[in-house]
This record gives sequence, C-alpha cells and structure tokens, in this order.
Amino acid sequence: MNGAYYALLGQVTNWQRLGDGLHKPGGRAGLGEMLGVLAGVVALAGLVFAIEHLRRRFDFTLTCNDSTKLFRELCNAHELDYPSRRLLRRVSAAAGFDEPAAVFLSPEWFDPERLPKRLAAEERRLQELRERLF
Amino acid sequence: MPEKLELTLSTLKASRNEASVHVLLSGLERKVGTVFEGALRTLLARRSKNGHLAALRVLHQLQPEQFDLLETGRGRLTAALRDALLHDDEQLFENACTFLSEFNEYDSLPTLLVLCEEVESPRQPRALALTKELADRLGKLVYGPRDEQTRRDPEMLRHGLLEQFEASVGRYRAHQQDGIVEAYVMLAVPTSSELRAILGAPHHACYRPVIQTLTHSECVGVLKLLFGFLASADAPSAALKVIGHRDDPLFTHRLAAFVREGLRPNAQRNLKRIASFSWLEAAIDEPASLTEQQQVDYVELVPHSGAPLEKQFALFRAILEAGGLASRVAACKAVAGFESDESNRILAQALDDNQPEVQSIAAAHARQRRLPGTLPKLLRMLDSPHAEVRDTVRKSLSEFNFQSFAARFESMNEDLVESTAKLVRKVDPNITTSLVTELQSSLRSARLRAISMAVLLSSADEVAEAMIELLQDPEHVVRVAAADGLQHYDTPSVRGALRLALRDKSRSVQATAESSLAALGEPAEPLGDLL
Repeated sequence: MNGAYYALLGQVTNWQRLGDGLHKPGGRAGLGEMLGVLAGVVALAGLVFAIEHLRRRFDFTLTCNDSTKLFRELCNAHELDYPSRRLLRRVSAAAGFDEPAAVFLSPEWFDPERLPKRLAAEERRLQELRERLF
Repeated sequence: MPEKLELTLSTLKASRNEASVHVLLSGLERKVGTVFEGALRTLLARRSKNGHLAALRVLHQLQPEQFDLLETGRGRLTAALRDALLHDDEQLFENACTFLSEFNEYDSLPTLLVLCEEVESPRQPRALALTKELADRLGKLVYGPRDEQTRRDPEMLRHGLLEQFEASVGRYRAHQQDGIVEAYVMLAVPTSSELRAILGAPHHACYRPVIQTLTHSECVGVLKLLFGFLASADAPSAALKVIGHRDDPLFTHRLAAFVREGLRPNAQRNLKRIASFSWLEAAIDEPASLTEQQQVDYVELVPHSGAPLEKQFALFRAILEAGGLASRVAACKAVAGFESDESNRILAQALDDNQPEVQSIAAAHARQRRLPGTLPKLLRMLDSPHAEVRDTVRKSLSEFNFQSFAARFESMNEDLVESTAKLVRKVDPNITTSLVTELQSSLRSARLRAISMAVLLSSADEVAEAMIELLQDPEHVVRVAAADGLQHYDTPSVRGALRLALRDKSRSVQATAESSLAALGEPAEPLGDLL
C-alpha cells in the first residue's frame, strides 16, 4: 500500500495529464449530447415517480387518510367491476356524502323511491349492486 | 348480521386508512339498525381516539340490550375516556362515567381522582362516587375469584393505582375529601408505610377519615386490610382498637371465620392485645338480643382475645343460660378450653342443659376434671334417652371397664363389688365378650373368678352358654362354681344342663346342681327320669 503511494507521489509533475485518456478522440461532449443525457435522467425519474405513485395507490397496507383510496379498498373487497364502481360513485355523489365510501353503509340510497331522476335508468343495476353489498 | 355488510365492516376495521373512521361515523348517524350496531362495534375495535369518542357520544342512546356491543371497547378506550371525562360536554362526561361503571375501567381512576380533587366542580360528587365504586370492585377482584374478562393482574393494577391515591391523599389538606381517603383505604395494603404513618399519628389530617373508613366500611378491601394488620408482626394499635370497636355482624362474622381458619403466632399475639370489644357488655347483658350466629361468633372469638377472664366467663354463662343451641354448644366447647374453678362450675352447670349436644360436651370434660359431685349426675346420664349422651358418658367413665374390675375384684369388699359391678355393666359395652373369654381361660383361678364376676355383671345368654360348658370342666371345683352360678340364669338350656349335672361323678357338683335347680323353682327329679 505504502509502495503505491510513494510511486504516485513520484509522478507529481505529470498530474496535469491525469484523465486525458478518458476523453473521446474527437474532443469534449457538445450541448445536444448533454441535453439528451438530461432528458434520459428526467424520464427515469418520472418513471420512478409513476411507479411509486401507483404503488402507493394500490398498497392498502400503508397508513393514510385518503377517501378515494378507501372507496377503492372497499370495491376491491367486494370484487366490484369498473362499471359498478362508477355507478356507486354516482350514487355517492347524488347522496352528497363527504366520504364516497359512506355509500357502503347506506342501503337506503338504493331504494327505487329514493333514487334521483338521473339514476332512474340504472334501477335494475342498482338493485343488483344492493344485493351484492348488503 | 348479513355476510356482505360484515365484509364491509371487517374491511373498515382492518383498514390502515384513517378515512374509514369518518365512514363509520356516518354509520353511527343512523341511530338504530344493523348498520348502526356494526359501525359502533367496528369503531370500538379500531385504534382511533376520535372513533372511540364518537362511540361514547352515542352511548346514552343505546338500549340496555345493546350494551353488549360496547364490550369490544373494554380496555381500549383509556385515552378517549380521559378526554370524555375532562370534556365540557356534560352528556359525554356522563356517558364516560356509565362506561367506566359498566366495564370497570380501572385505568381511568387517575383521571377520576383529578376530578375528585376539583371541589368546586359540579362533576366532583359523581366522580367521587364512581371512584369509590371502582376501588371497591378492584378490592373484590384482588381478594375474590379472578374475573375472566379482566386480562390484567388485579394486584399489579392496584399497585399502580395506589401511588396515585397516595399522592392524592397527600394533598388532603387542599381538597379535604374524605371519599378519596376512603377509596385509598379500600385499596391499601397492610405494609403501606403511608397508611401506617397516618395510623401512628392521631394528629395527622387523614387520621380521622382513615379511622372512620376502617370502622364503618364493609368493603372487602377494608376488611382484608384489618385482617392483614391482625396477621402482621407489628400491627398498629389504632387498627387493633378499630377491630375491638367494630360490632357490625358482617365484620364479627368474618373475624370469627378468620379465627376458625387457625391463627398464626402474629395473629394470636395481636388478638391478645385487644382487651375490649364494644359488643361484649351488650352480649353479656342481653344475649337474647343477638342472632344465634352472632352468639356463636362472639363465643368463638373471645377466648383468643385479651378480654378479662371474668368477662369471658360472664359471656359463656350468659350464652349457656339464654343462647341458642349452636351457641350453647360453642360456649361449652370454649369453656372446656379453660382450666379454672370458674370454668369447672360452668361445665357442671352445663351438665343440666336440656339438650344432649351440650350435655355430652360437658360430660366429656366433667369426669376428666374430677368435678366434685358430678359422678352421680354422670351415672344418671348413663340412662339418658339420648344415645349421644350415653356414649359420651361411657367414654368419660371408661376406667370402669371389665379389665380394671377383674383386676380389683378380689380386693374389693362385697358392697363395693356390687356397686362397681353395677357401674361396669352400664359403662363397658364389651362386657359379655370379655366375660366369655375369661370363662374360657386356661387358668383355673381365672375361670373361677370369671364365674363369680359373671353372676354380677351379665345375664346374657352367651355368658350362660359359656358357664354351661364349664359344667364339663375337668376341675370339679370349677364345675361346682358353675353349677352354683347358673342358678342366676333361668333359661331352658340352663335347667337342662343343671339336670344333667345331677349325674356328675362328683357328689358336690350333684348337690350344687340340685340346689341351683331348687333355686330356679325346679325340684330335683329322679335320675331315671332324666335319662
């Protein structure tokens, strides 16, 4: 170890040439090349962010306070398909719930007499949903 | 509950998403129904103070049968209960108190103590009552059977709470709340240095409330504390005074039970330090005013105490004169534990009791002590209609048995022999067997003595049969004695045997048999008739 140290110290006059071999034979990189590298880094960061976002969105074991996520968690528990989820959201909005998931504890909002006009056409599907949830 | 709704609730219960509490709160708003009950149960099961507080808020709306739903929250609501107790909302405070009382949340006692010390607060009386209630229940839990629903060790709970109570008692001059001291005494242990310091200093601010609690409280914790002092090596005098002062039946009964279980040396020594009981004079003057259980308890307690002997004997005499049967029996047993002229007099008096249970206890001891004038009474009791009395007297007169009679038989004069034989006949239940054995002895002298004793002691057929066999004895002296003795046994077989004896080869045997037959009223028949 000490031998290598003294050998390096002996070459002190040649230190300014250190790293010369790393450059391309054509000379230093241009601005376009640098922008390309930067874009790659940004794209990679975006990808990582997106993956992390998706992970947090679907990881129900994480502690949070997220109404939308809870709605999704309950839909998953009941294995609801996308159209059913959308319909449930519409019922929740019609009922004026602060928490969309409150619809899972509100069987009365599936009564045909209580349905808002804009949901009247969905009566049959709502009855099916009621059967699945309550 | 429907399976699908149950799936929703279990998802909300397990969710790490705090928004589920808000969803469950929306379920509580419907006041009744399956959704309401499920939401309440799920809220209580979650670790959320806000959810717990919301559940407490609706508690007063629950029907009695819905209280089971709250069971889930047992032991989980400590933080919410603290907030509820200190919250401005009166209804929330009241609901928290109801929950504490219903589910014995001992962890909330420190918060209650804070309220108890706020003398001006309108909540103070309720908090104080609840504190005493919980302290009493914790005492029962410590000394009673283990409550399956309370998972924590009650002794550890008490230990932790005692520090809080001691701190509050230390602030007594500021709050002057006797109730806090009372609750403290309910939970205190006999080794508590704080309590001992109070009991040792009559001028201590808490001395009066402590003594008052020890004197009047019927809580298990207080009673056990007093018995703990009694069993300790250095019982405070004030505690012993309280024990002597308490005359409530519950306490005296427990104290008597404590004595009955067997006293250890410390307890014996401490009881002897109690020279007076507040109930003793009244018990002596009017024993009939006491229940029979009290009479028994007092009689069993007094001999272990340091009460003057004349008072103790006065109590025994009074109970024997006017007490119930069980207490008279207890008094008789207690008196038997003393060796003195007075105890002898009381025992002699007990011999005249109209109940065989008392008579037999007195009889058992009267003979051992050789009480003057009691032998004739005992002899009369040998004819008692009660088998229990007869057996006891027989045991107490056991020296009047066949063996001792046989040993002294030849040295006694005729009168003494007759009177003693009369006694032995009544006392020794095995006399016939002993006599038959003696009549079959290989020693001639023993057989002769047995014939003489048999005439005096037994008219049993077995004895007569054994004597008939002696008519065949190789010794003519024995045959003569047997023929003579048989005149006292008038049975057909005896007469037949005596008639056969008329043919004995010994002339003297023939003459004696003839004489015995004459004594039995049967003239001697010619020998030819007998053949």
